[in-house]
Amino acid sequence: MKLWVRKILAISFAIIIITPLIWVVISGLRDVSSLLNNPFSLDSDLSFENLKVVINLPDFSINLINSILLAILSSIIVIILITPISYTFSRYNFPYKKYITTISLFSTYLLAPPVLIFPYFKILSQFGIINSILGILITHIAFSLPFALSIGKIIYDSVPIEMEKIAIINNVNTARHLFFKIIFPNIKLQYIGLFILIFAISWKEFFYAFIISTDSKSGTLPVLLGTMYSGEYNHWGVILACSSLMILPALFLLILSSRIKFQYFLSSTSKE
Amino acid sequence: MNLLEINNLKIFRSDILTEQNSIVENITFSVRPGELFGILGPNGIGKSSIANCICGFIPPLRSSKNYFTWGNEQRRMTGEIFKNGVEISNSEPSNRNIGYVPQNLFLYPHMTVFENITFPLYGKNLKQVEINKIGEKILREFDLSEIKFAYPRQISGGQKQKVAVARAIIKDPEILVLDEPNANLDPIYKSELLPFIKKFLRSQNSCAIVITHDPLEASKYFDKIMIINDKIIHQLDSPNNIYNTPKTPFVAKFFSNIENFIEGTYNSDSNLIQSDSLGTIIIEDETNISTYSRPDIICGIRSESLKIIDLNKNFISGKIIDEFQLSGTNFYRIQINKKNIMVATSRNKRYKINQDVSLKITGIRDHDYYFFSNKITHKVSK
Repeated sequence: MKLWVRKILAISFAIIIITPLIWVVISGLRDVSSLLNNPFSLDSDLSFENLKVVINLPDFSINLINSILLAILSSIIVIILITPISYTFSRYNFPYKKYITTISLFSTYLLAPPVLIFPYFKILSQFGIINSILGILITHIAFSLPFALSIGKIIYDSVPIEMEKIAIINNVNTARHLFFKIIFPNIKLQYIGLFILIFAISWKEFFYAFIISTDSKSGTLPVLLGTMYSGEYNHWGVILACSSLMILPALFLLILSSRIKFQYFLSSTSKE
Repeated sequence: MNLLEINNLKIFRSDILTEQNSIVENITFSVRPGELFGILGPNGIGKSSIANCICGFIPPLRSSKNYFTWGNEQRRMTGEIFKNGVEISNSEPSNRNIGYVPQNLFLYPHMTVFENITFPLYGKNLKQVEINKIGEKILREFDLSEIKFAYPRQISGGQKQKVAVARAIIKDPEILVLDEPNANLDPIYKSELLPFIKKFLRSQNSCAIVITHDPLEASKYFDKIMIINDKIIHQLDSPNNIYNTPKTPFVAKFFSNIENFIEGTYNSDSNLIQSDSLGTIIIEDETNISTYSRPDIICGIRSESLKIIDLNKNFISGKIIDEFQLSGTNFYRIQINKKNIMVATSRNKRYKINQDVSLKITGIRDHDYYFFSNKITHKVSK
């Protein structure tokens, strides 16, 4: 392909991605009547009225804190959990290893969320953590764990085993030394990528959070956004303002992750 | 006293001990202190597996099944490995005092050259001052002081190799295992490493096992060579002896630079080889051929031992199909009954392509042509 063709394709692809984001942000700043009259016009006054309404909602601040806490906590906990498990899957041989990976992946993603929510709800209510951030956190961890596990295995496969062999033969063979001196410095970037992925999954997750948080105090931002649709009349300006607030952290992470060389992410250099 | 002794080593792809599952069989050799020992063979024949066994990464087969093995390792070994007369087959890699340079070197990309080289000392509980002192000494020895703080991605291939070898020998190991250290390297660097290692071995009284598939490199520097093919040792001797007296057709082809092989049956009464493709060949030299009990033999002839003469009914004849020059010698490929024979002549005699010529065996010296029994017996003596 010629260079100018590639440039045009890249620019048009970028426009397709960016235009809706800009539209959401701009529409969130517009007056609701002008927005409903002509959603795509640009000649209306911009004001922060809608944003003020969103921020002054009684549950907004607590839901925002819930969302941030959930996303960060679930990413950290999932990463801590998958570290030993995916290392084991990558480096050790044991019977039925292949089937265990496949089953753990399919058991979560082949079944629709409405099928899984009944047992989740039953278990969480027996422990008395329905309607709390802890309950949502557990579902989020359970949801992203198998996915993160398979990514984690790929990450560890990308570290050549010879590096560890040299360490082991030179008596650097405690797990702590092996991990923090040899393995971790080589997979830092991949871990940041994985963190962003799990953060994004937890940040935009609606269904489990909506079912488990029956009280608005324990909801997350997607739940708050979802409840705004109720009733005959939707205040689109406020909804879009809330959406643009939700997009901001995702956009920030996207820019952050574009600075990471993601070719490392799914690369494998080991000789088998 | 042998520093390293390997006795009847067998390696299997998994813990099922069948013949199809084996990688190498009956590997027995010993290495004395100060020796540079080479393991040669074509690619993918199990040379690296032997290195892994010496280092201890392939676990020995146990009576109880060991499911949980590190390194995705499914291979299992049987046999004994002795170091200084003590069996080490079951000991951990860290207790074996081995310096290891893997294939493709695998320097730590997140460490500087100095950190890479001094890395093995961290397992020894030394103080930072002592580590720096030993590290500086090695850096000077390897001429790496200028790139002390560079990262592996910033240095050249030859320097990378030096760093990897320095990392392996910094803790003065008794056994040095180098897995194809010269692979992927410019020829200009290749000549530097092995003489250096030889010097080091003499001063430390340790030994090195070098895996390579380059016969030229091996014949120059190694004290002893083991040639492996088809799971077994074909020959184990000094490079000079192997070059002059190869024991199997494979060794003759792979190491001794013998191009021409003629299959036939040997008639001991008239001292003739009856070959289907080439007709009758008269054996002028009677050495060692009668020791083969089988009448089926393979005759290997060096290209220098053949002479091109003008077309003559009494000799085997064919057509020249190819020619090339190499260091003062003309080589001709001659087709005789669909079989190619390589002949070397001196430069002043030239023949044309497609010319019909006859061939004469001139060699009556030792080491000019060789006889192998047609079927290689599965067990080859040392």
